[in-house]
Amino acid sequence: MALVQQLLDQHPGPLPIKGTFQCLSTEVFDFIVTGVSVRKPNTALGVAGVEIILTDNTGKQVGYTSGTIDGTLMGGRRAIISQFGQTSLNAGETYNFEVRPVYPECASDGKDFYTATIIY
Amino acid sequence: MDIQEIFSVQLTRLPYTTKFKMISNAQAFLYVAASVTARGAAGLIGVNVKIDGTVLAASVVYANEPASSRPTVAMIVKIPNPTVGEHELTLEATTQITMTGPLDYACGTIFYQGMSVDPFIWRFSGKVPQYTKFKSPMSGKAVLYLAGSAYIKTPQVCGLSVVMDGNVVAKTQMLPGIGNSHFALPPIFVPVQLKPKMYDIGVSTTIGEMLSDDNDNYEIGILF
Repeated sequence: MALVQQLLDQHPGPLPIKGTFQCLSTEVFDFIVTGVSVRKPNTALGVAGVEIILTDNTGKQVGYTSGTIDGTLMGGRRAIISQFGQTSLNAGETYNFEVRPVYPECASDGKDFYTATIIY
Repeated sequence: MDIQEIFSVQLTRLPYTTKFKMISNAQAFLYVAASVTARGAAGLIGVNVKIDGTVLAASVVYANEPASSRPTVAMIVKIPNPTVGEHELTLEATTQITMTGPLDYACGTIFYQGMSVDPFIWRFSGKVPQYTKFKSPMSGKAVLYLAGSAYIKTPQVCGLSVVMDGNVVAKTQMLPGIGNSHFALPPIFVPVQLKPKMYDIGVSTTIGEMLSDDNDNYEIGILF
């Protein structure tokens, strides 16, 4: 069976969302964040998106992935196109994660929902 | 489960072709997520996914607003006869009104299924709720995947849920920006606890106001 660990389950915004997790394996694992994004009003047209950053207890980045989409305000929030990220960490150790907008111009609020999952 | 990222790109034109190397002969399943733009008219837009020249599936969505980027309903499809070595993946326009806009994206991932049992993948279209049967071959945790589209008359938070034996086991929600306009919800990968038994499994809506029709499509996957 799969070894799978949920970091966020339809967690409402606004971003950033921070948390911790205990790594379950020393094997390489993949992780993904899904949700929606849009640019704030009165900002330039451009990309919107969400990223997830994994850090160790020293603050060093140990994993990263993101999802992006056309952030044009007209049309509203859109589901981001999320790619899996890949890393390997130490089993049993606790790590931090932060889900945040890819740019400060990206909006988020309590009506946005985010899911983040690790698949070992 | 071994997972291999094979591409993640800003999709500037169609067709898009890339080479990738499969790392195992095990059963393999391709996950593709993309966004595209409708050219001048409302209608179905999306990408056909080809490997080594064979169309495996299409990832589509109904676009009500021309010239507006839309994420398609992401998909997982079995790769026939997986073999170690170099292969070619192509994304091509599903319909004549499909084009790429200035900010469209696509990514692809391969899941290698080490176990001999096939995953459960159910792709369908039309109004939800819809249900089918699924027989779990074992007990324990699996990865549940859900993707789909819908629309709503008046924008409000709404979503799709996976129902197993009458219980909601997963959901994806969002606040759509436009009323009466089809939209793809964020796909989700979440854990699900299984027993070795037959399940009733299906897709429903999280609120009664949410609507769907023959232009909407869905996919549930359970990967072991």
